[in-house]
Amino acid sequence: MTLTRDSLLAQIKIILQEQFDIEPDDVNLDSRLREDLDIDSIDAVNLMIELKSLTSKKISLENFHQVKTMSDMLDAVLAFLQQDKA
Amino acid sequence: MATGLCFLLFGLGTLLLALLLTPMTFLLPIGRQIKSRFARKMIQLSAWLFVRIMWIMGLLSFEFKGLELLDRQGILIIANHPTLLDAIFLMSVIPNATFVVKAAMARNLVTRWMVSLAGYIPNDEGVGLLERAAATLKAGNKLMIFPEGTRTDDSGMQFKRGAANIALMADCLIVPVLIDCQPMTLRKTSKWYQSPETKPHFYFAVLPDIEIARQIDQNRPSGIQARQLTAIMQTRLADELRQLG
Repeated sequence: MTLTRDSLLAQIKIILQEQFDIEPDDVNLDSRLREDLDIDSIDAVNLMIELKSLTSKKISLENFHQVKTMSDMLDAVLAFLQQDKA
Repeated sequence: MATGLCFLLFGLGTLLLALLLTPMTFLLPIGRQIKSRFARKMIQLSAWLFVRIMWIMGLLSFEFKGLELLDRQGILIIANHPTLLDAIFLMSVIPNATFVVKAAMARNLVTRWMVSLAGYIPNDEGVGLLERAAATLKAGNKLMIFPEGTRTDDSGMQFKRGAANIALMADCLIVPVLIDCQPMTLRKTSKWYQSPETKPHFYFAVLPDIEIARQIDQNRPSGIQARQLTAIMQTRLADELRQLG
């Protein structure tokens, strides 16, 4: 299954709403996770767990502190899945 | 002048306590549990003494309400954090509690032994902090944390979600303590030598318990529970503070 950037964003929006009550309309590519969406390090762990069930791959947390915006997150997850495939 | 003297006294007192406690860590052939109980007792006594010295020197006055509610096992004690002295005051009155302390205290050469011997938890451990804190509560200890993570600044009280997450993980009773100081002194945004014109009065009131199961739906995702519980804790303290006027 190939995951496009758009569909990944849509999926993450659903997770954010289900897990953290964040309105999908409030989320866009430029949203900053911490400042705009109020996602803390504990939320990040939960988010990774949800992403794992979505991609059926364990997403590593190692680079998460470099992820500042939604756009960064999409890049990181897609890069991770890509690298895992190779 | 007197303020400076107290800072000096606090420094010396802390050093003395550290010198006294450090050899215990290595030398005395007693269990870890007893050492930590003893360390906490010594810290409580020192804090008690320091508060009285400041009072005798006429630097401040203080009053406590409902302290007996704090002497229960396995409770999570939370408080707002207006001044630099909040933790000292609370340490002087809560027996045998695990404090979540500023990470710098766990690194500082003088205080690190005390922190480690008393089993205090540094606040920089992320997810590890939650697990350690929840385990402490489940073992029946009481835990004290300032949910703001630092002193209140000019933009007002802003709770982080760590305290709520600890409470949810341990499924324990939450006991809020309201702290007020009038006129305000030793704030995050003021310099320590800027003493107010009139003597500050510190007021500590233990508020009614917050019971998790009665406040939030525990079937919802943990991220949402943590948000709701954080809002409840913050509102409770902010409302009480407002009522004081």
